[in-house]
Amino acid sequence: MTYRTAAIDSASFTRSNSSTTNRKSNQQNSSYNNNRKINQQGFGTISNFIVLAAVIGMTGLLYLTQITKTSTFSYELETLEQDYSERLKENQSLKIESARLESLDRLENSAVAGSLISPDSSNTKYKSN
Amino acid sequence: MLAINKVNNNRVKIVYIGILSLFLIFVIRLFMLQIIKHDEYQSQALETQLKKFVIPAQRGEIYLQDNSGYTPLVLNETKHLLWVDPQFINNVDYLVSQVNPIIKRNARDLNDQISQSKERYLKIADEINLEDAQKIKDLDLAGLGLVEYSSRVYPEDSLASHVLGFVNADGDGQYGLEQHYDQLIGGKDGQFKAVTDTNGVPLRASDDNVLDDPVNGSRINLSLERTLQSTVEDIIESNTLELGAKSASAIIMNPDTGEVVAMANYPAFNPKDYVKIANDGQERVFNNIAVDTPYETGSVVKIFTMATALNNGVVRPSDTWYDAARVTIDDYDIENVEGGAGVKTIKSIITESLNTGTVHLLGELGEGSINGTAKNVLHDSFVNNFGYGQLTGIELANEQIGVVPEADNVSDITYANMTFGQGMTNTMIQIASGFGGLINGGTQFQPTIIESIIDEDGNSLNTEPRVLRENTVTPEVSKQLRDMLISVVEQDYLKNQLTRKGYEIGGKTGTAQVPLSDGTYSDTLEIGSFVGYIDNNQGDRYVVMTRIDQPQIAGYAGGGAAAPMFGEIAQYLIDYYGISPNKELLQ
Repeated sequence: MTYRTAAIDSASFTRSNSSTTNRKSNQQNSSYNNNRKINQQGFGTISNFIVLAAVIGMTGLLYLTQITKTSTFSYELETLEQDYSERLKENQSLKIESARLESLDRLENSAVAGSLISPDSSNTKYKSN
Repeated sequence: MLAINKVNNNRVKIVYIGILSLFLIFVIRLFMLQIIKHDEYQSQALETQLKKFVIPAQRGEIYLQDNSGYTPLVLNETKHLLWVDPQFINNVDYLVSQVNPIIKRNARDLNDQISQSKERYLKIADEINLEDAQKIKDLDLAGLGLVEYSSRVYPEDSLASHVLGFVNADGDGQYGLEQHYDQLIGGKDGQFKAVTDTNGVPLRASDDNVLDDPVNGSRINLSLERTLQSTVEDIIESNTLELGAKSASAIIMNPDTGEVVAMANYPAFNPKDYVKIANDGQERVFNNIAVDTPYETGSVVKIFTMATALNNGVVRPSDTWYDAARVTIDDYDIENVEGGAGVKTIKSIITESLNTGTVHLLGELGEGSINGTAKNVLHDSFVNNFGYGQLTGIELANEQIGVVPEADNVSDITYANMTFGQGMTNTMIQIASGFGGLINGGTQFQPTIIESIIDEDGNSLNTEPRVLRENTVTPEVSKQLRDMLISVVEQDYLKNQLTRKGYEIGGKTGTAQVPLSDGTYSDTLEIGSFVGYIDNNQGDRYVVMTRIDQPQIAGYAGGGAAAPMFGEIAQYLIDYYGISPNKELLQ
């Protein structure tokens, strides 16, 4: 039992000696470890989780924003295409109206045509080649 | 204390295991749904979310020539059909009072139709234009619906109706150009398969969307000239009405390109009224007689028989022969319409339109008798040199080839009749096309009504003139034939109407008796034809053919009715195109 105590003391002594000789460096190590602990406390599991959740959340939000934007553009595109289609139809109608106004029947029955005189082909003179 | 803790621990474990199991079940279920059965459920989902929208192709527009370039003959217009679902209509009177001022129907009829209908989809109006459709939309009434469709519009009404044909309710081209070029003009519908929102609005940005763009129909520019076409239609209409005829037709063609600048038939029709015309049982009016109605053309064929004889070198225009004024073949007598027996020139066969003369020519082809050789030579010439019994290839539906009896196993009298245009049938376009080759030195062009075809990308399809046959006659024979044709129009009864100083005008009359259903010919009913040309010998020349069916006149239908129509058309043609006269011909 005594022997055991002595042995322990001896070990303590040895450690003590060793501590004494390396105190300066131990102090430095202790300071480093303390800093490390502080760091480990600042970016622990919860922090990492929060950061990860935030990143995922932000990514999700970004994705949703893009999807929403795409949908909005999709509706805008649909509206524009409908608008374009309407304009085409109006253009078509105007073209038809123009063709009707210029049709032969209408021209022949117009006041201008009515006042024209037919040429007498027997008195027509041609410039011959 | 320890016992209580142990119990609590067990409970926690049970709950923990329970939650874990539940979670595991969810995971497995989700795995089944999202991984294993992914494709199955995705396709089910797409079936409900994906909708197919047909994007109709726009039918090609059709234009004709005009002084100012091109003028529209057929355009497209968006029209609407109005339908109601009576189950959604609470107050029919109110609906009718709102809608009827726009669609202009009988209010009581409309009210009854809606009130008594047991159908969920009841059509109450169509042909609604864009403006009226918008007014109906603005009413915002429940139970009303509009269906949009494209409709053909004809700004010139019935102008060139037989060339155009029409488009039926299924969107298929019928008759004329619309049928012939149905696929080319019709284009190909596109489709848009898209994921839609709850309102059925397509969401454009989706990987599952499928877009096939429609291919719009090609635009067609006809070779027809608007004013000329209109005037020719007026001329044949007035002649038909004045002479109490059944119908009349005319073609004007450029013999050096095959371009048809006018093609008209009377009676005409307005293509937009095709349903009413069909319902009235008047479908025959849709036929383009110039192309799809072969008939016995009569003596106009004589010039082709003469061409065959001259081309084979068996006669010369100045040769003489004895005309007995009657020929008996297979116990049938063939006589001339006018003139007695005597020595006559070969040229007079055309000038005096001698039936016995063309029979003489047939005999000459057989070295003195109507035999197998004579018949084969004539058949070969008619078919292979002039295109009888064959399609010309003009771009119009239902072109007919007519009937040319084969030389073998056919009686001599049949072939004798064929020499002056009976016993076989031709279409007007065949005759006009073959005649073009006779007077231009021997090159027959394919008749065409197309000036150009332009696809939706603006590319122009090749529509260059196409030679059908070359060397149909030698240039020398062509000249001899022209001399004979000129001598025809210089006869007293035609001279005043058909000739004009400064221009070379020639042609041939034809009068055919109308065949009856019992196989005999009518003694009183005739079809008159005239095929001729005008030429200033300076590069401007046209072939004109006219036909009139059963005119009520004292003389012969060819010289008395068809030839004057030719004259009117030829005179207008010269004035309209401003074809300058030839100095030498003015002398």
